[in-house]
Amino acid sequence: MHTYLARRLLQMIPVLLLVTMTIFFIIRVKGDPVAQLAPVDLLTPEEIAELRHAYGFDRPIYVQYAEFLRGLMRGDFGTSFRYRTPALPLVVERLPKTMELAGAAGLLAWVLALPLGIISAVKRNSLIDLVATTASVLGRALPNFWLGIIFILVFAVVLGWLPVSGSDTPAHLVLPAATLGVGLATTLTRLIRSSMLEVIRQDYITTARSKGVAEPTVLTRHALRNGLIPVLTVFGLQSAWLMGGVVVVEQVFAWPGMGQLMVKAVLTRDMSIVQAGVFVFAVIVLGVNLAIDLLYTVLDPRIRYG
Amino acid sequence: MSVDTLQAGALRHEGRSVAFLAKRLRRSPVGILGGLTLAAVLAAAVAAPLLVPADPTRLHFDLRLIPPAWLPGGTWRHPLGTDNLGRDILSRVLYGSRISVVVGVSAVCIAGAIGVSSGLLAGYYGGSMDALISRFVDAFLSIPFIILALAVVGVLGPSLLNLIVVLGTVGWVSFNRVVRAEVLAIGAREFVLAARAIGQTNSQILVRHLLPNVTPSVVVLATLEVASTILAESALSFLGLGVQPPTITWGGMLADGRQYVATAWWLATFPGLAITITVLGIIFVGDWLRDVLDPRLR
Repeated sequence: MHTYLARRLLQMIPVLLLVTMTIFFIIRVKGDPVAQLAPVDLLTPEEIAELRHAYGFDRPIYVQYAEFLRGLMRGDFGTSFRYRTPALPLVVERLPKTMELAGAAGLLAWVLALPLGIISAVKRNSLIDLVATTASVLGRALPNFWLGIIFILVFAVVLGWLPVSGSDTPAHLVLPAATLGVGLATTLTRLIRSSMLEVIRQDYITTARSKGVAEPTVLTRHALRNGLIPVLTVFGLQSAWLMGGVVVVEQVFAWPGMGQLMVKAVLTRDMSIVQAGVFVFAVIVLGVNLAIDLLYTVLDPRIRYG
Repeated sequence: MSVDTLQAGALRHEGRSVAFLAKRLRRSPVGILGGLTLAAVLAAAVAAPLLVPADPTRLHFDLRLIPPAWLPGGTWRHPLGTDNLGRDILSRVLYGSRISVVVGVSAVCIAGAIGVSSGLLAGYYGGSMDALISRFVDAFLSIPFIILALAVVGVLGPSLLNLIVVLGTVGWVSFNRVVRAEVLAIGAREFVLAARAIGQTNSQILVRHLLPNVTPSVVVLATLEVASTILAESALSFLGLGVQPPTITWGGMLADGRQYVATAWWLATFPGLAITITVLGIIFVGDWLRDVLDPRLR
């Protein structure tokens, strides 16, 4: 197990290097990076040259990348122009809020999708199956920011049950988490349904039933454990989608997380925050996928990582 | 060649003819519904200037926030009402389809070109080529699509061309995965060995033998990718990073309408409905194409 963990962590290194390269090149896509980091129209040519020298942009590109990596090891993504403080702490400061939203959305998605997916697989073509299948088609087509606005319209404006935006009380979490969670739940329901359909046809399930094991136990202990493995794999890939959704939904609900900070940074061209933000989001996605790999061993003891 | 292979070949050939597709379409209500929706959206995009009841960019300050026609205070001159600047919403929704269609189709062409060629190379050559390309795929998969697009648009500046280029270069990964897997599955088949035995070069095998065989899956995937690209485009426009006003986008209309959600719900509702219906139509067509062309992808 430990060697496996070590190997997986080692495998993450080239991926992370490529991620850092992507981030490094983002501000160099359009020629002069100084223009991305400072309001050049307000500066004299001498000041620009001075800045270019100060940031080392006049040096060869590989030296710049080495410097960038060295800074990265120390968690140094440069200084934000707007806030005049280091960029990474500004992003990390907002991490708990973003994780609170993403975590609540993920939890809600599983709570909705597990029973719905299992029931619609066991009772095929029933009313619940029809509802779940229709919802999962709709879920693929609904833009989450629009769903958020509709939720605001219905639950905050018309019914007045919940606050429109902000993050002061737990009630503020409900609408943004539901916006993200419902979208994710539709995908998960579809996956759980098809995975369960495949598993419950297998012989070992018939064997378990003929031994007289109670149906709920057959479904949860026998079928679900195997049925969940492919679902988890896709959930790992979906975590990137979830993070992207967080960025948009934070904007809809004025949720003070990393996404809101990043969108503001992009609009004000505060690129060191953008770079730090992309890096932190990538690390989260890689972390979730690593955690899922480790979960496989819990679900299926035959999967042993030596 | 066995009878089975011959039959499979005949089926594949039949699967590509237009007449066969038309025959199959008649049997699928969902496919028909999706096709009609898609045709309506394309017609709106092409013929918007002929269809609109009013100039979509003209401001009428005396006609602000008129509700849809069926509500008290509404008028059939503005069937879906007007926005905060008195512009006709139906006209704007019709015009908005243009950007979605153009960005969705063009970006998917770029993504498809990158993804299919890199997938062919990774699957055919394998080894270090595959390892290198797959690491890139892993890196792209770990950066959320919309966040990478956001960062690059932030640098390049929001414009129609930049949006297409960004969504195209960020969206190639799924094409790569599908094509690579297909090539791995068919790369060792007899016809590839036979082609090599008669002295065809690697590039001839890639283009003449492998590419036609992955085309059905690529067509299916491309259809579904247009749907997700339209969703991504509208999200970026919503965040203010899409094509800029006065060009009309559904995402931009939603962002404008959001502030009026308490007083004039129709501003944000109709563009969102337009996105949902368009994407739904494309998904229906894509799912139907998948069932017909490539049952293995199910």
